[in-house]
Amino acid sequence: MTVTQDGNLQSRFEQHVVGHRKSLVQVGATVKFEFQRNLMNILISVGIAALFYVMNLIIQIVKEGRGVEAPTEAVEYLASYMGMTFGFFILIIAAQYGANIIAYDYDKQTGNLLFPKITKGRLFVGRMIARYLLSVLAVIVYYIALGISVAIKYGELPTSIWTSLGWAAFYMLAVLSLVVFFSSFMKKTSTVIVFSILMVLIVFQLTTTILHITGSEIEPLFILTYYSNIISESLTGIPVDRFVETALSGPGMGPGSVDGPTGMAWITPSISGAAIGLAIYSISLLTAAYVMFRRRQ
Amino acid sequence: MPKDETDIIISLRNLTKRFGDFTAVNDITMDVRRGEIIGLLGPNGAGKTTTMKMISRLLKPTVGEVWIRENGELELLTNRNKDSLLDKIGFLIENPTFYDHMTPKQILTYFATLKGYTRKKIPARIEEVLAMVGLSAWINKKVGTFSKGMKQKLGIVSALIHDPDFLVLDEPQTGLDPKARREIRALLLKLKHSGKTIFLSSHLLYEVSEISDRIAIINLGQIVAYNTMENLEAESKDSRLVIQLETIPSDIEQKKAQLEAIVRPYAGVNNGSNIVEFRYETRTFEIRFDGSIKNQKTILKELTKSDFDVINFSVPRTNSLEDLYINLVSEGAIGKLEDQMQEEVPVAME
Repeated sequence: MTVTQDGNLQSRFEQHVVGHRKSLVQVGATVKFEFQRNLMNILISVGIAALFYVMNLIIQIVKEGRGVEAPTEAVEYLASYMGMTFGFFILIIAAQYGANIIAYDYDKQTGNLLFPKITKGRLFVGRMIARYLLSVLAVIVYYIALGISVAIKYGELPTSIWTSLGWAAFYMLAVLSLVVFFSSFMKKTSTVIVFSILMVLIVFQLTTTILHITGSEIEPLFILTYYSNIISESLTGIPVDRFVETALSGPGMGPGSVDGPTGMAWITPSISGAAIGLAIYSISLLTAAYVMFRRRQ
Repeated sequence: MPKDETDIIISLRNLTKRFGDFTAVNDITMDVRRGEIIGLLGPNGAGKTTTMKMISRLLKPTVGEVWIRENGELELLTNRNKDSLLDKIGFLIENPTFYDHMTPKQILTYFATLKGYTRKKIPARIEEVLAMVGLSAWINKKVGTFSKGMKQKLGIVSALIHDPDFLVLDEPQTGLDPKARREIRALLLKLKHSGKTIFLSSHLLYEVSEISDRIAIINLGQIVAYNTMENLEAESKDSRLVIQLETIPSDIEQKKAQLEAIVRPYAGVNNGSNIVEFRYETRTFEIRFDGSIKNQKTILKELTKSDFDVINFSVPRTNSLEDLYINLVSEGAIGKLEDQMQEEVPVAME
């Protein structure tokens, strides 16, 4: 109950009703404003999606031109577009939309006018929704281009493309959450971008390599980039054996050759493992980002 | 608080904010009444912005309360009811900085929606407030092309967009050229005449004194003066006669008391505060009096009749509001200087 000067009491329920309605209005207004604010970013991200698609298409054309046979199955052709470049594409889009989500307001002092018009919680939720939707839009553009080229080449559109798109969207949330987490305490947008790219491309990749060469059999569920594998694997179906033993050196290096020292290479997480892992990553990073944002002065 | 004081729309009670060992705002108690402009005046770092932030609940007071009038009653501001209570207030806290590639229309539409302004009325309201500050022609221009003065005006407009009764403006004239400052002053007076109540902070005395009904002077986190402009001006317009003795007495307090006894009957100052002060930095005594020629002559006659070996005295100086402000905000620093010099002053042989 709220106490007035005359000792009157106002129902907490009434305050909650008004508060929830206002929360929805403010979150909605923030989403709309973020769409307007990121208008140029939308065009850039669509351009980046088109660029990645064209680059992959050129690789396919060159390979076929040099006598490498095109995959016989449409899903295999789709999977060939989902290699490392796709993970990099997701990272670039996440950095584009997530890096300035909080850091910019502190760097440029644009946050001065926002408070107390809106609470940090509502602003955070509104911005996350808007930027996640815009990030996924870029992924959808990539998949649309891919779907069209597959349909033209193979005369069919594999239904597993939707599953793959779903995993890509989920993975995007986790990567965006990582970038947003950095944005919550770093001062400059450019620092957030550099740090995010270093983290994903260097730290996670090195950790994966270390696990591999030490022969560790631990599934690297704690490595965010590991989850990107399910995006391509879900196209062809998750294999029963989700890891392979590979040689670490020599001419027989690679999967299937077990002469000399070997390491364990995990192909993909299981469906439940990926769902839980990505959810934990996203929730914990977003919670940490929100806490940092709330405490930030 | 008496119930009949219904014109109080915001009341600060013992407001205190500490950051660790540092006390940024110390025990501020003041009321803001409907339809007036209150100027919170103080040097940089005095605690103005911290006070504003506590009113806006951006900072939680360490001690004390903020009461805001809602539906005719003063309500205690808490995290739970801040949404509804603060909706009636327009805030401009610190420098207004905008997203450069957005237009005033987009920004103000967003802010008006956040504050729950009726959606259908938002376009008309935006045109109205932009016209108020002469920015109508810029409604669809990118803010990045605006001058600092235009951005400042847009900042004030953004606090006004939902038509609040009460405005809290933190340093709205800082960094502006004289022309832009004058425009902002005119705007604030226009708002006052339209019935708005304004709580304004600044470190610029002129900007505050020109438009405020009451001024609160804040220094080192404390309100050192809070009165109407008339009273503060009257208080500041005292005159001071500075005298220098041949030797500095060993017991300064005793000499001050003796001087006080001699000159008080002729000073024309009725309040109980001391009228004689010793200035360690100049080694002189300062006698405060009402400035009349008659009293000035009498004081000098009485001093020459006494056994004080006066070797020098100054022409009386009439203080201004600026002097009062400088004196009040310098108090902390001067206090430290006095302590330091008291240790250094050699004991004179009388």
